[in-house]
Amino acid sequence: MTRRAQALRWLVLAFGFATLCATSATQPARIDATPPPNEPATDEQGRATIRVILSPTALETVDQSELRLTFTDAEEPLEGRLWLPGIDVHGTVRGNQVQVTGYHRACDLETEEDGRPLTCTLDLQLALSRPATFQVEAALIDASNPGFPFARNGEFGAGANVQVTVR
Amino acid sequence: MRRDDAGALLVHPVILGALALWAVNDHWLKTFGGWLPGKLSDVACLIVIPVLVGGAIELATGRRGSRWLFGAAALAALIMALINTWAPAAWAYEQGLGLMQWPFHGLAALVRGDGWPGHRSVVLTMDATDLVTLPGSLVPVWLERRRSSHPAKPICDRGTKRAA
Repeated sequence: MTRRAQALRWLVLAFGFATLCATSATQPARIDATPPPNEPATDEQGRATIRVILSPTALETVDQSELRLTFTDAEEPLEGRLWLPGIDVHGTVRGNQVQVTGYHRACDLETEEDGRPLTCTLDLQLALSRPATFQVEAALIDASNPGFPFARNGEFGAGANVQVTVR
Repeated sequence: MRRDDAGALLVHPVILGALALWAVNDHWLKTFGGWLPGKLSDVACLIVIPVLVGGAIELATGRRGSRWLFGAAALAALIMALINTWAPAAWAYEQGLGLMQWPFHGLAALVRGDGWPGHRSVVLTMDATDLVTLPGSLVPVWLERRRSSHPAKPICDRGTKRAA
């Protein structure tokens, strides 16, 4: 075996172990939740309340994640702002997306008798520059690996855990 | 036992393809969601991991040996089955992979100028339907058996034949 061939094998080996170590074992969490209603819309002032409910599995990640909302199916790109009343959490809607940190401090926790959290309900306030209809997807994002969400809505199967409704 | 053949499966087109699929899928395709990318990654890792283990040992020792690859294939399939069906195994996997990734996250944090992060586990969604990917572990076994039955001829043998 030539040195070149041997080096190539070592290189593939190193890349393979790097892939194994960097594997995103955090498979996107899938939900057993009601999908968002069709054609959610803001009121005439462009305002809406987006309720996000995190299940127990999703709650395990809140300390290390950011909440990202992605709006789709709008006629025009959405712009505006999003905030959580009562705490200093707000974000700017730009490019049909908004991301906020520290959201879990606003969790309205439902707990079991032993105090273990069951779900966290967040009522996010949305104010757009103009009225719009859209679909919305929520995801919990690992700040250090934004391409791969801890959890998101809109998929079905076993596990967790983000439910979104627009009111 | 031929040094020439040690780790040869690492550069087999099937393995290189599976490795590329695994990397691309984990860091790009999965962002699109859906059930398929998760399954593809599972199949790819079941194909690649046994070859990585077998290849590492062969390259380190300079000797060919199928036992490590076969053992790693069986172990990978067992782990895949357990973590998707048995909560304690899933928990152990989450902690174990979190520990494996910790040094890399730590180095990345240092490069960014942040402090060394605390250990955190990964999050795994148990999904019994992932068991459909288990036949993927037969691929490296098949490749290894094929390699054993069609061994590469040592260069000195070829030379001898030509001379004859």
